[in-house]
Amino acid sequence: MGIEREQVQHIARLSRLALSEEELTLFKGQLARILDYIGMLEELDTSATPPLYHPNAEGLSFREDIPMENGPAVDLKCLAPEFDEGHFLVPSILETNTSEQERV
Amino acid sequence: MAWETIIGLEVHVQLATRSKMFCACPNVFGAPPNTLTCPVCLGLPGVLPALNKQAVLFAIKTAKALDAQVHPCSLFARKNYFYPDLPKGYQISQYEQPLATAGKLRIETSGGTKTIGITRLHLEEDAGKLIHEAEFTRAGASYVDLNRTGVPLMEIVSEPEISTPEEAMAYLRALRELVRYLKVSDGNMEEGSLRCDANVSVRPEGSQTFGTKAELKNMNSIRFVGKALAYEVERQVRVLESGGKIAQETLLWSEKLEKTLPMRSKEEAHDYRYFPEPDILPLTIEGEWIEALPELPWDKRERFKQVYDLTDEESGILTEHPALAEFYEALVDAFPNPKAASNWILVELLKSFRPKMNRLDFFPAVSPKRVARVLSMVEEGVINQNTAKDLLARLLEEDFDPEAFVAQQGLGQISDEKALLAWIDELFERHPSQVNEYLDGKEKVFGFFVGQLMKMSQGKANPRLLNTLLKQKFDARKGAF
Ligand SMILES: [Zn+2]
Repeated sequence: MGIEREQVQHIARLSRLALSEEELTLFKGQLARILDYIGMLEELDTSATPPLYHPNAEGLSFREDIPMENGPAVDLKCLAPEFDEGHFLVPSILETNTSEQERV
Repeated sequence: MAWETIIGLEVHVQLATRSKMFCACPNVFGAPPNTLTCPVCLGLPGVLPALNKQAVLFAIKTAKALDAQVHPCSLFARKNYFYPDLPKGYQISQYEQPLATAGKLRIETSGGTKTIGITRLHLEEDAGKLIHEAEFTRAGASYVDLNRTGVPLMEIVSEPEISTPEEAMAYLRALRELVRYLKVSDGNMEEGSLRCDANVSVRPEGSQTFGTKAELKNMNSIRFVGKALAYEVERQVRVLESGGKIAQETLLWSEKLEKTLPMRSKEEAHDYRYFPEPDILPLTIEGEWIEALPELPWDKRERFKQVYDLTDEESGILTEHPALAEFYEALVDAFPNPKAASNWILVELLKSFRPKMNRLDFFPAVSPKRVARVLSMVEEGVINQNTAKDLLARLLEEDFDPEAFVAQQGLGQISDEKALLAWIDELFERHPSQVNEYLDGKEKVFGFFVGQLMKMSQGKANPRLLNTLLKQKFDARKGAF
């Protein structure tokens, strides 16, 4: 199973990765091998096997709804190239000319 | 040509848990930026999310109230997209197997009752907030606050069964009321606790295929949803009637310009590459998690109408917030005149309650028992309506014993015939010409005398008695002619 150069570029763009020509070639080859492997697995007839969502058979463990007052100290300033007035700074993102922000 | 509108709504409801969805950061609004963050919600490497059980319970409760099917097993998935409000680069959501499906919500519009299908209800985490053009921001930069990142959200998706902007507004009102009744969210749109996206399209009436839909975002009040949808429906009809085509695009509602504007497109925004979240195991729901539901708003509304003999409108307003409904019932308990109790609340007390009713923990500041005693004094003729209004206004400010206060301040209604008659005599002496005018048939002057007497009694005269005595006095004068 192959993968086109354009598909690799597309995925890189979605992840905001700038790949050089060499890297594109490298990852195209690696992704193709991964897909081949998945293709091989798909040859097996698993229609009678229930899907395994997770190798951990213990089941989901929950957290009780208790807020922690003082969380682990994180030096926020270290996490971003720019930090100002308590905020992380990123290049300006405006969705319309009226400068209204988008809500997810 | 006649056109038919098709609207589907996606509503995000912030759940009123005490902590976030996957970490123990407090879930509160309005804290200084980025102070409610930890390695989990900041998306630092090597952390493990742990699901908040309360968020699951709230979602199940809502699903049951919407008569939806809660699935014994549901899955979390990663929704991948790149945006500065999402530090992990993916949002943990539910995709292929959501928590619940196939529900319904009854809405009330001027055209009557309608049931809107609910496609699905699932859990996900909120993203952070981007700030532009605030006082402290500088040009060319957006400011990121991650306090909201990881706050539990419930997404509720309706079937495309909403036919008018009015129905869309009714749907949102019903949903907001429901989450407040269930106490799973404060439903406050201004603070973003309840947010709405709409898919809207039009098609020739009777057509079986759907038209191209546009997605509307950024509507942060129910009124804006109504305005944005009305504008968009009109725009689409105009485009189609002039032979144009509707583009499938995402639009933002601009309140400033009162129109919808295309969002500068997020590049390939809809290629989310979902895959199962490897950090969270499938969510299996145990039977005992499904709690009994409180009385739901539509049931309460019906009961109020029947038991207290109220109109649709009265019972609609009184059941708008569970705390208000509770107040009304406590008032009727102590003052068993449901109609009068409703009137007093709707006319006098709602003014001061309304602004606070968008809080989940809203509770009227005044005790229903105290209010009941004021209303009883009116009914027994001890005080008149104006005095009662003043007393209620004071009660909203401070707590005091209304009967003692009335006695102390001499606010009791003056029903002493002798005193009233003496005032009438005095007044007749002072204004002989007005007396003659009345006797000549100018009945309007009667009001002048009532007003003057009320003034003389400092508003305390028993109005009914006053009227009777004044009439008697005039009749006596007429007889004397
Ligand atoms: Zn956190």
